[in-house]
Amino acid sequence: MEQTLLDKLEILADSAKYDVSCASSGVNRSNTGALGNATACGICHTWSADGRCVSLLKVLHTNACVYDCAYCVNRITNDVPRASFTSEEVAELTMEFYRRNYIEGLFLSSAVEKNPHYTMEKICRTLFLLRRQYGFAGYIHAKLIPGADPALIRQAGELADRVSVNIELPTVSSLRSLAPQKNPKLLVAPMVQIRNSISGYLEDQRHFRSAPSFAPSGQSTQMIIGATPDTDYQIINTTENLYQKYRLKRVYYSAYVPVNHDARLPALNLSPPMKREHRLYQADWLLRFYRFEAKELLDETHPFFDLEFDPKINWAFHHMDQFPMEINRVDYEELLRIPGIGPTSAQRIVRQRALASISYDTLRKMGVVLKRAKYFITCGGKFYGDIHFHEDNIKDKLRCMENPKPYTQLSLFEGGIGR
Amino acid sequence: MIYLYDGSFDGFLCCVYAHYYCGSASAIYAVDGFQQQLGETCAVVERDDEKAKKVYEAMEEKLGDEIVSKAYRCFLAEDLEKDTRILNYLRLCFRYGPQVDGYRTHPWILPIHELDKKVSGQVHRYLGILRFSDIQGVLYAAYTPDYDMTRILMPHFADRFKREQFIIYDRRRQKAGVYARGQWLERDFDVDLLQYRSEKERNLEALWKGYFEHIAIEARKNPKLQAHFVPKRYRSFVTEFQPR
Repeated sequence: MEQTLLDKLEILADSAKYDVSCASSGVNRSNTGALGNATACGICHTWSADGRCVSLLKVLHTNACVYDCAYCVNRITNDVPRASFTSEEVAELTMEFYRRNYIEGLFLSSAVEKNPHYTMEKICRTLFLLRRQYGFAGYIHAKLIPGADPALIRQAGELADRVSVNIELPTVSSLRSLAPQKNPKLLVAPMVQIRNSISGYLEDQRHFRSAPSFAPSGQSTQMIIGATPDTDYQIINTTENLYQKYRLKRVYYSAYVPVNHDARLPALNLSPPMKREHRLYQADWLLRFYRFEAKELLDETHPFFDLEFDPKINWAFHHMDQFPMEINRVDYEELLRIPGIGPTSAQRIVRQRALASISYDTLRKMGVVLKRAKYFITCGGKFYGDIHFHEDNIKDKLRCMENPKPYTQLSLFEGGIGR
Repeated sequence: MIYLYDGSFDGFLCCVYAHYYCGSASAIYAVDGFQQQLGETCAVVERDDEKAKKVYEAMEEKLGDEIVSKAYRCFLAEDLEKDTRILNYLRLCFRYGPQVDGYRTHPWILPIHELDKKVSGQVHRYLGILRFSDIQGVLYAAYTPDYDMTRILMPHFADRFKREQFIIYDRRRQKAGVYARGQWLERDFDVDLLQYRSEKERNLEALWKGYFEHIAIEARKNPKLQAHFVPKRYRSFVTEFQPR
């Protein structure tokens, strides 16, 4: 039976849903075409049943893949329904969804159909149609297919706001084992090309204000965690390297959802390592917004994040000599090191400090979350934690806070029944 | 002296003018619903476009766009004391310059940040969850916002949908923002057009609902998190939360 558009959309949404990114942020643009604009802060349009934000129409061009990557639901050896969109179908869906304010733009990815070059060409053709023929000026995130001609990579960068190459796994050895057809060198090449093009275009824009932009929202990537034995230490080192060397805007992590039976992979009945994913995102935030370095968070002797305490509190426990910090005196960078204080609070503190001194009560009024911070600060020389300042006391307090229920032995028969 | 005005933003600005040129204000209220207490003296301030313009231009010039739009958002908040609060905030800003805004916990500044957070939070939410339907070529959205915010939403959509014609209908206030050919205006409006959706329109909605259901990962299902981001009370006008 012939597939309807709805059938295709459902199949290709199903195939795309393991892609993590949905950000529509990073670029301000008024409507330069017929329909659409972009807002730097990004706009979420809805939230799906798993609580993830939906900002972009996230679909694959096709899920008919010639590769056989062990972790992927779309691998050639899987018996799943296959579908492909035409360029016109993708463009029209995007325009019609956008007109109704369902979405902020398009996130177009694809399985590798025939070969990388053919696939990338198809993606570019669709982007071209959407931008130049339909006049779409909303947000576009396009996936780059490693191994495609550099000219096509360049075209994608000229048409999209953000581009991304999935590095898939945190280490080369994991990639070799699970995705033998993906060449690690080919993964890096488009990332380097995009990085260089972005800086070239930025240079042009310094001289000519009207110079065209190139992937103005930068590039991102994602990797699967928990499918391979890679450590958190390896993962955040890879991440740091991506931010520094390739100037990526974002690195996404996806807790491996077992979709395939394969001896190289965790068993199908395991649930995704959500807590670990959460810890990695916390660490990622510390790298991007808190001026931490990967080597401050973990090392070879402690290669995994503590599941009990978040990475920042953990760092604080290892540097108790720097605490408690005096809110009225320490500089912005030090404020960011205090557990419970983020960039927003730190900025508020700095702004207010310039006009008036800060008491403990003031902090509360400013909206600074004190349940953790109070154990690591003084205000006007006074410590406001309800205990004597000592690592063990603080650990006890925080432990109660994070785990209000005492640990109990899990029964084999409890899983799945609502409590 | 308590100054009373007609409820419009220009009217409010005239009260600010009166505060500086006719004697200081102890409070400002909209005339509607105001009940005079014993021993209070009140004066109704007539709206005067000249005076309003003067105050507005002074705000723009001396305080900057950010504080002007913040004051305007607070003006939309549902708070009995909002007018007096905005006046006090503006007095501080005029006196000490816009950077005084950073003195967050000052009793005249904190309430402004709180009001602004409520209003701008909901504005941002509606930028995302407002849903339009194509009714014979006109895009039509209905919603029931807590604050009278259509005027804030209009410029965003007027740019985004510049070649379309669209209507944003505030069902609670029976008003609508109407846009066509580069211009928009606000007018009284009380027509529910959703019932006129065509067969084609309903098919498109079905496509979106199908997509919405399939994009969620079953193994990560988390209705609590979803309800945190889209509280139930916002769902009645959102296409994908309507039964199929």
